[in-house]
Amino acid sequence: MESRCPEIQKEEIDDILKDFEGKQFEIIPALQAIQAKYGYVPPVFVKPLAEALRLFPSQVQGVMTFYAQFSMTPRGRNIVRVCRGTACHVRGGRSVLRTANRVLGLGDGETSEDLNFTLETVACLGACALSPVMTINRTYFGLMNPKKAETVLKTI
Amino acid sequence: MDAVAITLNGTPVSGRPGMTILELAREVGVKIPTLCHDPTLKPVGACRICLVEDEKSGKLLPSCVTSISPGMVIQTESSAVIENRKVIVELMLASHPESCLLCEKGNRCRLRSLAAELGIGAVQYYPMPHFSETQEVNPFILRDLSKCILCSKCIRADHELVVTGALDYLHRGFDAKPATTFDGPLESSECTFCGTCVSLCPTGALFERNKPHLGTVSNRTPSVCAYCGCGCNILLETHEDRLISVVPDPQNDLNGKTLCVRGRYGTDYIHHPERLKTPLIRKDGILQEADWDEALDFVAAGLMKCHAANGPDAMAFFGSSKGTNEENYIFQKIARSVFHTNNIDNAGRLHSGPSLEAIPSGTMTGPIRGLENSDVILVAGADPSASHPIVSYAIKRAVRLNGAQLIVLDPRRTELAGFAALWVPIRPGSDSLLIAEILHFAGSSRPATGISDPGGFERRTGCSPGIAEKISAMLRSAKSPGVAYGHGITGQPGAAVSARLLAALARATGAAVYPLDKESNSQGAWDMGCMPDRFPGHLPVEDPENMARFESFWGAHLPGKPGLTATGMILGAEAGTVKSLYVMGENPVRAIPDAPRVASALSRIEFLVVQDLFPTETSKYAHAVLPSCSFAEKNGTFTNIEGRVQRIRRAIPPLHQSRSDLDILCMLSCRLRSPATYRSPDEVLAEISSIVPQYAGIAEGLKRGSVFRPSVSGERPQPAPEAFEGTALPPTAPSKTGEFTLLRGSTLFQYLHGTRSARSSRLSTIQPPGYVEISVSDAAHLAVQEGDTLIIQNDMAEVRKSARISRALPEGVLFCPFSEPDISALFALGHAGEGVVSCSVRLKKSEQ
Repeated sequence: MESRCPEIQKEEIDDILKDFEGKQFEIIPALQAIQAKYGYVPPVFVKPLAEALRLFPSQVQGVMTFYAQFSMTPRGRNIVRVCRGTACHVRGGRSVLRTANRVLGLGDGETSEDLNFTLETVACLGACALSPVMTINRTYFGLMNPKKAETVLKTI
Repeated sequence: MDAVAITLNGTPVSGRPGMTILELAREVGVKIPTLCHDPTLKPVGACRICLVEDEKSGKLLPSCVTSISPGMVIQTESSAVIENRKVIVELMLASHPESCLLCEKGNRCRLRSLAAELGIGAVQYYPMPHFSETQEVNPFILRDLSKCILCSKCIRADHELVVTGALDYLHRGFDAKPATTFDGPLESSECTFCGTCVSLCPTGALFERNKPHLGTVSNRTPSVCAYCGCGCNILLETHEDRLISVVPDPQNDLNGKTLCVRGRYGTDYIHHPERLKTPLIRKDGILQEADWDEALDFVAAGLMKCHAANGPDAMAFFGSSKGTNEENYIFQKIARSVFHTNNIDNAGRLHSGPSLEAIPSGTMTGPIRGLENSDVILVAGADPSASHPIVSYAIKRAVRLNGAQLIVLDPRRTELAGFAALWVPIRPGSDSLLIAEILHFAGSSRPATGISDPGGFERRTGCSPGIAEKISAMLRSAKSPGVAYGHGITGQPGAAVSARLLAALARATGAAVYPLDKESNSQGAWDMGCMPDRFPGHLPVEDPENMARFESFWGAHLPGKPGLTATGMILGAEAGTVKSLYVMGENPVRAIPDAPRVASALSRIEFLVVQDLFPTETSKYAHAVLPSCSFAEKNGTFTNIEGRVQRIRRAIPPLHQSRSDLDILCMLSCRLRSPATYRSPDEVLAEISSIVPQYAGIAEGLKRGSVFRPSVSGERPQPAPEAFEGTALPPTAPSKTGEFTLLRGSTLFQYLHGTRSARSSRLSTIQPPGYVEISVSDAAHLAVQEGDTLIIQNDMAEVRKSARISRALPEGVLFCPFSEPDISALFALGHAGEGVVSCSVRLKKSEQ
């Protein structure tokens, strides 16, 4: 996994962190700013960020791993989310996930070698009336079935 | 403020506003079970075991985080409470392995005892055990997180007590666990292995590794740690005359629930196979085993003969900064009253001697815990994280929890530098110049710096003059500043001047002074008169009044002129004027710089007596070696760096044929026709309290716990006023190209010269000997890789060490622990405070 991480220069790190010097309570905006730039939070940021915020590296890691929105490994350009909530489950959400697994060749939480896709499961996407639901990046695909899902996934 | 009245289990009780239900219940003697609560940690309400019922609303409240409010009606044992507690414990047990029979925690496990109290046998839930994969190789702590109940005590202890930050939660929900950064083993994290988390863990998730006995111990003896001068209160856990483990004594206001790795895990040296088993006397040129009577007769005869032949000035006595007050008192009493000599000193001379000239009796002017409430702290030439860890915890708590500003003057980037608002990487040896400049900006007189050219200050100290002004302003604006200094000051040339400058700076800014330069009982050794110019109680020997006082008290004729210091004795031995040396519990060959020269001086001594636990570099030259016992095998008192007198207690009988230093001295004194015979250390203490002013009434006070001396006035000593007219600053040697500055210091795992810590198998496993640290840039410049052999040389010697590359060092500086015995050959033997910690060397890489 490390080999896929791009080299990050010290100047780049300092450039992002300079706005957060000493601001402990802005740890989440800081993590978001890093993730916005790289698509994930590269592990090399943990110690410098902790130092800038006057926190311990373990505390930064604790916050980062608590929230599902942050990832410490590179993620794909396209994030596919399949809902595994109750409403989607009773209407066949599991078969949609299996389709996604097969078409993308990825397990839950995995990212493709070419960094094109990341597949994730979520507990609810807030669109139960359209269940089963899948999202690709910010687009919702409702009333899915395996066939429709396969078509959608193959068109991106 | 008005008391808050509530009803607790039907009884009206009242508490202070802001109190939690749990605190009030404990105060009035109502038991509420807890798992995640500890009075020294911030309550978080994680485990929910402490639920109580509010009768009015019928709600269940976590009592550890719920404040009392007027009119509350609380039930702690209602059926709803019991039912819920059972469910919580059962849920915990459902994800807990069924390994209680094998668990090291045994019947001390809080979870197990709680389940037993609630009558939970089989659990009705489907078991979902956690699996633990963390692999540790450190010799101190093992983690089995399958037993973790997520009480977060370890995390809070780490963040709030020792402020290290090795642990925090990782992930959330069922996957959550306390973990290091990147979930690696403890040894690759910031963990210092202080063991605080292990002491607090309610289950068997964290436990001590390599314990000689896994079952329940039979005895726990309260005592005091014998490594550094903090004097942490400990419990010695023993089983069948063997020391099993050391844990913090819960009843103390000094170290609380914390210890450091040395005190917690470094006492296994006591059972080291090299312990001296019988007395040894030199017959026909070789040291041979003898029984006590024979050995003591031999020692007495040898001392008397030497005294009769060469007079009192040829006798010298080397007291111990690790021995008890009682032992040091009797030792100097024998030297002065039987052999009529003031040639008595202790090994603390080289490190804490300079403080005696700066602060009355060299003692801290505030308690260690006072640092926690300081708002600006200056740490000069000290690395308390390694030398006095409890002090570093207090400083880090002040910074992280109370928002204090920390200033660190140190060429090395020490752990504290990472917490500092201002870290000044000063050039080694230029401290006094910078401190004088800070003092100048604080509006005090200072010695002439002798700098005329504009860039001179910056060139010599490596920092801009503005820094001094800034530090001075920070200290002056502080409400309760603190100034700490350590071996980096007291071991540099001109240490006495630097220490006095710091004391003057403290006085000018109203700061408390914290000298961090002492071993377990260095303070006691000074107080007991183990120094050549002062009687017990720091009373000058030249004052006829003092002399008359001690002459009448001891019933002996006493010498009136000051004697030789520790290094003076070695120089005397070299010159042939010191014929007999008696060393109690010290190892001068390691303690005094230039080991080969010290060894050759000792080899010239006609009658050398050594009392020690182990055979040492010094005992090789001895004519008699008497086996003494460790602190865990004897009774007595220690005086810590704060001036707090505390009892050490015997937890196991002396091993083999060893005896306490006091026993040995008493048995010897009978043979020296000395009238002094004591049946116990308490009788010696009684004598001390009747003659040493600061120790008056100490025995009475010790019945209630520890006592701050001086107890006569009840006041803490203040730094003596000093003027610096005509005082010259020590010269800062200009660095020559190609020369490195070699610094020496204590490390966390090897305390000082390592006579004891190097024999702790656990401490030596984590820090194997034989290395020197080199900076990243010097390593790159010399193409040195980690582990390469370096040749360090100067005009005195050549030493080979394996390289360890350190990010904490600046260019041109090397660092080596004191515990490397051969490195001492590079340092010059001089008087106190003349370059014990730094010297100039040349460096090259070995090509083999």
